Amino acid sequence: MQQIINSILRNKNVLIFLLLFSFGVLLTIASDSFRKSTVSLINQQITGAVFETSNQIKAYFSLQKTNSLLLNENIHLKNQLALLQEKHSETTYNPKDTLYFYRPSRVISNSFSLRNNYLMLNSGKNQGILPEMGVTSAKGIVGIVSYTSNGYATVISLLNSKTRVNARLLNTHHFGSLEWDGLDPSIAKLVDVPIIAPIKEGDTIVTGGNSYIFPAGLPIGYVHKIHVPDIQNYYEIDVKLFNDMTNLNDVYVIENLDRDEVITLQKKNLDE
Amino acid sequence: MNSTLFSIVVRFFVLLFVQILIFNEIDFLGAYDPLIAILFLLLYPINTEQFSFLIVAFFFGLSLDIFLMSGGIHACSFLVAAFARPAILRFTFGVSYDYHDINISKSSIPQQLTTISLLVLCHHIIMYSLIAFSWNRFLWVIERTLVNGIFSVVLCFMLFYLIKKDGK
Repeated sequence: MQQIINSILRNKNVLIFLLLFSFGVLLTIASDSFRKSTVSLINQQITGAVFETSNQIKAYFSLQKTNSLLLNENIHLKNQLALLQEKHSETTYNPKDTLYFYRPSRVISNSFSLRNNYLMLNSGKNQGILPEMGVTSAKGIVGIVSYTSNGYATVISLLNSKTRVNARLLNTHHFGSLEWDGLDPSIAKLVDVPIIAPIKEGDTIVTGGNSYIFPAGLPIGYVHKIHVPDIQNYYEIDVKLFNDMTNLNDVYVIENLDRDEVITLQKKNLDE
Repeated sequence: MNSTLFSIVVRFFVLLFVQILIFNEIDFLGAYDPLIAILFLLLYPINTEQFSFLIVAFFFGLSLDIFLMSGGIHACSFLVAAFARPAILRFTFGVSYDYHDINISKSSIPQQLTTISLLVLCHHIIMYSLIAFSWNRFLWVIERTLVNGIFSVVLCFMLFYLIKKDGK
């Protein structure tokens, strides 16, 4: 017994090293379940407060750029509105029919060099933000809200191995699934597009709308490179993202107003 | 609180926030952020027990992880670098390390550079391996380690020089 204790004491450095190292690896692998715990919610409040302060300072330096970005978006939206009003002037158009509600928010912390990246927003439950809402910027989609505390929300970035977004080609309406291979933060991969789809470099990719998270037709990126696999009947397409994922500031959180209805319906289908 | 403990605590928080709020925002070429927080391991007193040093290094890395939302990646890599520190110091300073009569800030520039480079190398290899988490991306790990490593070493050395001058 004495010998065992002695040998433990002699090797205590190696033992504590191995113990802590395994704990660290566990945290890395199971980071998602760790993030959902209560400890993590307190963390979110603290880290959120720190990043919010630093972001307020940083935001001053990009005011001009942000202004022009918002102005461009405004022009684009105004044009679309004019088009819509013209189209619907004689039919029964009711703006209350809208299915989605947009809330403004700001990215206060953003990672993009890891395999699984996350963002933090400066609004949370108090501002009506809930898990599984889509996040987009003026240029294109950014990610999906994963969990929220009172004042902050954590978002699974598009640059994450777990993200799958339903996407389609703007011209041909062929659907595929958008994912990220972890290499380049400006390139995502569009898979499962059938090989019969006519496609060329430069084609625009938008959201497909086959989920309750993102409405159809939100911009994502354009076709950068097309890989034609030997055996399978599906393309693998490199998509250059419209968004610079390394530099995000003002974003919108999208709420699907029929979300509860869709979820209950999906649950019912699963139960049967 | 004695002065050694006090300076460790101050360094802990200063390096943590400087890393998070300044150096992690550099995003050189969109992907590279120099790591200066490793100075914490370099400046940690040499004649302390390895046991407590490992624990402190782990929690320093974990604090970085909490802010950078990176799971336990920095915790592991700081732990490995701390575990390797005695071997690195013995490699750089030879037997004088065993007699605890070395002072990194008074040593020669090649010795300082070697120590910083080896610490950064240990840290970066583990960090990028854990980020990649697959053998297929071996080359990616090597490339990132080398490019970001050089970047980190240069900045660490410059900061170390500033701190050293200031402290005297």
